[in-house]
Amino acid sequence: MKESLRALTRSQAWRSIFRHGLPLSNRTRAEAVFYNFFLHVHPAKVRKRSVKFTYTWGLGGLSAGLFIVLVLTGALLMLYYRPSVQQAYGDMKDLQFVVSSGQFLRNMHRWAAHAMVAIVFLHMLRVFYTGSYRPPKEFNWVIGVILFVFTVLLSYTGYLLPWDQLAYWGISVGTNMVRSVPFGLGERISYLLLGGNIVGENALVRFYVLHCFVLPVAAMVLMGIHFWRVRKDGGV
Amino acid sequence: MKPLRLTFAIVAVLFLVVLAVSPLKDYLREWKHDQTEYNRLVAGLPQRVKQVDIGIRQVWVRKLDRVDRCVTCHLGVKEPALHAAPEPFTTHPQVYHDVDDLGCTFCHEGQGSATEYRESIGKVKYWDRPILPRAYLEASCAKCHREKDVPQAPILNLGRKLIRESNCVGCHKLEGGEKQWIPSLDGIGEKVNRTWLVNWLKHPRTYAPSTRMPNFLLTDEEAGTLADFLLSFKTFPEEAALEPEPSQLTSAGADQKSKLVELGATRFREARCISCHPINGKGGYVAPELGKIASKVSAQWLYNYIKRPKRLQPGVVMPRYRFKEEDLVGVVAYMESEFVDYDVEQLPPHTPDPGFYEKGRALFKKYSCGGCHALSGMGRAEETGPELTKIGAKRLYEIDFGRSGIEQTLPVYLKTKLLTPHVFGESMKMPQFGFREDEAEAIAVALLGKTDDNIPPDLIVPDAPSGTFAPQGDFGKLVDDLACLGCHVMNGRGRLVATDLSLEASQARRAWIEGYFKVPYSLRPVLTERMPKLYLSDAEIKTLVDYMEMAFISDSLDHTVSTDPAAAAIGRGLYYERYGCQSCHQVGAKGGYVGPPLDKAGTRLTAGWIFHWLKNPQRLKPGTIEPNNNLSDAEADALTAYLLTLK
Amino acid sequence: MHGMLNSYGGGLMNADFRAEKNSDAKAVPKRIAFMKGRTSARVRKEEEEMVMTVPHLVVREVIAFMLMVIALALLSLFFNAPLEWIANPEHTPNPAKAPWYFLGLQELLHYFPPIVAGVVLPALAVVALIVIPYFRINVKRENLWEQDRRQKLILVLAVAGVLSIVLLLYNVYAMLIPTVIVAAVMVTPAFLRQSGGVLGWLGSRPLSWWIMTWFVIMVIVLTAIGTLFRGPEWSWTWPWKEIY
Repeated sequence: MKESLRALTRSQAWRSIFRHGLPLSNRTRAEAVFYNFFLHVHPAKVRKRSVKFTYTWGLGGLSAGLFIVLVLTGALLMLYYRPSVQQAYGDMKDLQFVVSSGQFLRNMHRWAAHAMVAIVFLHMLRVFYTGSYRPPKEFNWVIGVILFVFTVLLSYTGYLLPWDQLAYWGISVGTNMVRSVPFGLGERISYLLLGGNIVGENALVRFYVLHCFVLPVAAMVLMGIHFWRVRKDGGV
Repeated sequence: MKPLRLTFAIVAVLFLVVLAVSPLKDYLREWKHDQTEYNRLVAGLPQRVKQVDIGIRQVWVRKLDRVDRCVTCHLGVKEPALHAAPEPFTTHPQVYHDVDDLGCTFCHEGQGSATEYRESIGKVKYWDRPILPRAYLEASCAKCHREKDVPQAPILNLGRKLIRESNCVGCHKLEGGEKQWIPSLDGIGEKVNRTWLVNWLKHPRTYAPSTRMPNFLLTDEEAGTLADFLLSFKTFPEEAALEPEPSQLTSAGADQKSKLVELGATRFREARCISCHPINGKGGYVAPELGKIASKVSAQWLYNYIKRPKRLQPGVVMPRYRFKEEDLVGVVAYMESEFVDYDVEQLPPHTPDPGFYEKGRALFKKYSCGGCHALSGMGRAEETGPELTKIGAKRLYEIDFGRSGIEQTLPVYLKTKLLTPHVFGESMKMPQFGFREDEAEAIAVALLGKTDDNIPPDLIVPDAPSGTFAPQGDFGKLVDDLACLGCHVMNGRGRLVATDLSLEASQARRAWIEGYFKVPYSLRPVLTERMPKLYLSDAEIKTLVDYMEMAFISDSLDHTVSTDPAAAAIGRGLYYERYGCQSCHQVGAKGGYVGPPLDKAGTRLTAGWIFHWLKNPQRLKPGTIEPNNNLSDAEADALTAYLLTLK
Repeated sequence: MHGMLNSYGGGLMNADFRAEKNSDAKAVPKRIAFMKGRTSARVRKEEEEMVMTVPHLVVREVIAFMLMVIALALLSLFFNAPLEWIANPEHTPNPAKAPWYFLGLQELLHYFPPIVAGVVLPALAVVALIVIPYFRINVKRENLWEQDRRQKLILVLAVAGVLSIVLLLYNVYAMLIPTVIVAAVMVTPAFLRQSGGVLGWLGSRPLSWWIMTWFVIMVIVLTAIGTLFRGPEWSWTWPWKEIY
């Protein structure tokens, strides 16, 4: 068993993919981090106390995890959802009644979205109360704040998509708030956002594009910078 | 094992289990169970019924943009062998429309996209069109069927009739019911007395059980003020003034008076007033109750009104009888002595409060009296109630059930509103019409059919356009004066209480028609709505019949038969032996009562009419129960020859 | 020359030169050490115990992620995401509520004019959050009330007082009460000076800590009220009452 495993890890195919053996020695463990794109956000060694759960409460990691869950479930939901006034609500019903595990996917997406808003906020509080925003991490804090705003916007743009009463009036209330921005700016922003003066077909398409493309891509870029900075500033 | 590894192992196993189990929830869906049950059921049947593959089934109705998945579980809808199977597998009872053509929810409502029972019947919080209860199912016929008489939808037809008759359009915007004629209130101060008016306003049905006037549940004070206000209107339309009451009525001695009353009673009978007017609930139904008329209107008004009805009440459907003056006075005297309400308690003499006019006017407006009644200076109120054109699509969250405590569904809401509008709040202005429960349900059915569904034009069965027939000249004047269209239909216009006259001259012989105008006897003894005797002059009769011979005739109904007695004899044989006509028709006091007696058929009917009637009765009178026996021309000729001998 | 040294709590041990000894990285985040030419500087850092990322950190991360997915999946199995009636532009639900994370703002809208509640306050909040790291007032880790007690007390009470009056004018009791409580807790150590215990801990909190805490309490209180206690016409409604 062990022998065949070892043989496998020595094969060219394995080497071409992982470039290192099983992480059994400190050397291969370090290599596992060096040679792995995903693990590379971490240093090879970390301080023992920062591994403790209560050091960060894992909130940043959980936020990233929720983002992954949301991307996966969201991509699957996109297969069944059409952003049009005629069809959106019916597609929700189809997800509920016909699509295999459709309701489960939608539930997962919805609850993960709510959880992400809360957990990102908690992450921000943790960073504040442990003073982790202090130099040289000032700018990473700023990115974090922007990421929080993006999280809220992602959740908010997704809120309209089911096209039910909750969605319609939730968005109407929100965009009415935007209208109160002075100097006629509010009217313009809301017009730009909705593609018109009322929440309608255009608003649905715009929110869909924002929700499924613009905001996630922007958030991913910012997340990359955020993680990279954490690493460079000596975090985990 | 280190604790970290152990935790990892446990969590990893849990993780895999949860991810594996979550999709399994799909396998527990109701419909899968139902389909398995169905397959088990049909396997046990003696007939061969195909089993189904497990999977969601749906009817996609493209033209209605609907997807109905009801057939996922209702698998036996089109399978006659399952007529005794339990739900959801039983056969659909008598399908008027094909389920593949219209789907399910177009008629039944509910949530077609659902695949769970509770969701599909739509009795869940967030579905606004739950399944229609069986009693209200005919509502959906109304979506497409706009015609007056929808086949096999008696409840809907009743509801629409009640909507028309109750004049709902007086207050509500609602298509499918033009405004009914309602008496104008101009001159009411010269017509009725205060006691009657106050009682009427409070309880219209005490005076006239069949009246269309609803009960507004007015307080004593409101009724009094409104009565004072109305009584101040003493001018008739177009400034018509009342002729003075004839002296015989006021100053006749007792002896003279009883003679007058006797004469009046005879004329009242001859004129067949009760063909239209009920007396204490008995008689016709098209005109107001007369049983207590003397306690309502003044003798002077009655005299003037019978003399020239349209002068005091333009638009009224009441023929102007050609009474001689003496007869007219007699009729009035008779009615004054006979139709008195002895139970009524006269109100004490009363001086209106100051400001009664303004207050009464406000009440008149508040209760939207002008929605039905014209009153000069008040204008005609237009649609003060809520619009009802899409009431069937009203969402539950838009309805204020108040403290009524009723079941929260639209049909029950509508029914309750029609029966007892005030349970939804004291301030409701909707009056109580005193509908029976089944009537309220019927109206609710007709209203529920008014949805916001997009109906493709090719599905709509339109209402036959109401006729625009408006005869001119002397005939036209007579038709108006005699209110013929109040009971007869002419070329698609009028009210079908009596017969359609559009082919009258092809049907009846001239001499017979003329005689009938003079002495209108009854064709069928069972009829209650009999032709009144209008006391027409010979010149008037000539005008009427001349016009009929010119206009109410069709060349296609011409036919001549031989008057040879031999042919008549063959016909007689066919009548008695071959077709057994005597089982329904009487000749010489022998035969059945289902059809009219044929004793005088030869006097009354033309040869052409009899011939064509025998050939195809439904062509001449759609819906008649006279059977179509597919007679040959020779047989029809012989029968016609025989019937023409009956004089 | 050695330039800046990040301090990890160690100091310079050589007696050849004078150095301020301060172990508080927050008080002295960067420092400069001057050394004479013949002396080689040696920085002695306290050795921290290190562990390999694989498996110690990665395994923990994976466990946390899996636990989270398990929780989400269980939640999704038993609680369906809301889906109300199809959108109906002609019927505004009463109350029309935004998503929960905006209900704090919507609650503000109930008290203040839209321009304040919808624009000024949220913009201020975001700007304030962004500038926190650049905001150096009282970064010193010493008792807030150690120096200039009178001045600071007057300042804090004046700000809290003005804020309270404004809130009182607009009848914003939902914000007034927490504000007064936070202000009271904040100034208590100024009167009862203790070095240890809860009061000592509270007394050593910097000003930014107080502002953030006040802000978080505001967010939580307003969001909770907007989410749970608001019914038709935005009137006070107990959460257990059915709205529809």
